[in-house]
Amino acid sequence: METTQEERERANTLLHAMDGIKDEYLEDAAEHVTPEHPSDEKIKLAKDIRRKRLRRFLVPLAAALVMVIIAANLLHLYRTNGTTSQVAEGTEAESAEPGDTASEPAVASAYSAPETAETAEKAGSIAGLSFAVPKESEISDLLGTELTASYSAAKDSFAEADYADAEGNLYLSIVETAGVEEALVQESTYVKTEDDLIEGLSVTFEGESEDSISSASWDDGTNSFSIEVYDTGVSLPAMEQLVKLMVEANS
Amino acid sequence: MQDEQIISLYFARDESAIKESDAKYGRYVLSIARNILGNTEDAKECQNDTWLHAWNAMPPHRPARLCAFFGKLARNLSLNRYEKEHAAKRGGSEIPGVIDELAECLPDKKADPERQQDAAEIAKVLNQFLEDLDERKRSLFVRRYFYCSPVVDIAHDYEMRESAVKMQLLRMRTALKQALAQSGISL
Repeated sequence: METTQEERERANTLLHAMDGIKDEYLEDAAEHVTPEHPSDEKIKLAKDIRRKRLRRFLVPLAAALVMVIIAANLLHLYRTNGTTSQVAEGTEAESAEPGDTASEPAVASAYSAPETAETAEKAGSIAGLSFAVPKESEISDLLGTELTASYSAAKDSFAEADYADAEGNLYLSIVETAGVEEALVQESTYVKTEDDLIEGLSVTFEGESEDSISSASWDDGTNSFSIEVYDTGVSLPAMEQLVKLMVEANS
Repeated sequence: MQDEQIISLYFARDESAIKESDAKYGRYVLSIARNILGNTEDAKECQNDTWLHAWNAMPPHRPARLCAFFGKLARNLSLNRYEKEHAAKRGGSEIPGVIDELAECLPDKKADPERQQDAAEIAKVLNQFLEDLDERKRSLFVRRYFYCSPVVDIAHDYEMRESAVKMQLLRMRTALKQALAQSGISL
């Protein structure tokens, strides 16, 4: 909806009233206020890499470390108490897990920076996923806005489709991530999980209200999927429809 | 140099006060001006104006927080300049976007049409609203609506996705709208 001239004038009053914000709050926020910030998409992408690396690399690594510590403690217990079949069994059982996770750092170290791709299929190929997304026209028709897609992916990690409007503003993103991971909590005021949206698929919707849903996330037991709609989001039925389009594209 | 020492230079009418101010806060001031004006050339002029206004203000004014003092000076000078030159429609400024976003915070004007608020009253509500936020969210809000920083820069600094910043700002605007309405502010 267009901002009217009257609204602009009132908003301008509010903008000027910000001058009364406490000095301490201004100082707290001033830390990074410098003109050298590279305001481009590359930086955004770089930050995405870091965030995703934290989620995909550090979490498994931490889990592996915990397993190693448990195994070491059990081994220590075994050596201290002599040998009993009970402890030995426990050690054997636990030590199998560090062995399993030993491959994880190798997977993590193989993580590479996201790169752009010409098509969703190529993005999926880079990520090692069978990534498919609905047609641009399907999404555009659903949302009533002409959208253009661009694609990116990181090797063995994730594939992403970003949809921008005619002015180049990012409108929504669809991401498929290798593996099943816990959905990010966004402190939404509205959260709804539909356990049987499509053939038993459990989808979590988040947003401000039923009329302003900003994200949907689910997994198929192997990989995780999410749809994020920026700014004011979309209605719950529209987001449900987006999920259905995505599921159909991947079926 | 410590802020107190810089302030002392102003009070001693020592022109090195400006050099020291520029050394410590030059980038900060320039950034604010550039966010608002959208180009470096105009921003540098505003930066110089900031030192001039500071020179004229001190003494007698002795700012408790020099950083915030320069920040407010730079912001006001830049906003004034922006409004004067708005007819020229120079691109690159964050102000049109910020204005559009703040328009979403406006409470229903019919709520109390008789009531007129001054800036201090609005600021009081703003500060109460900010006090109720955690420090990180408060900084996000201040970065966008006081410093007029681009969303992509905020995302960069706080290591967030741009979409997450936008979402946080949207939620805070919604909350601010409620806070203003509850306080009877109609703007």
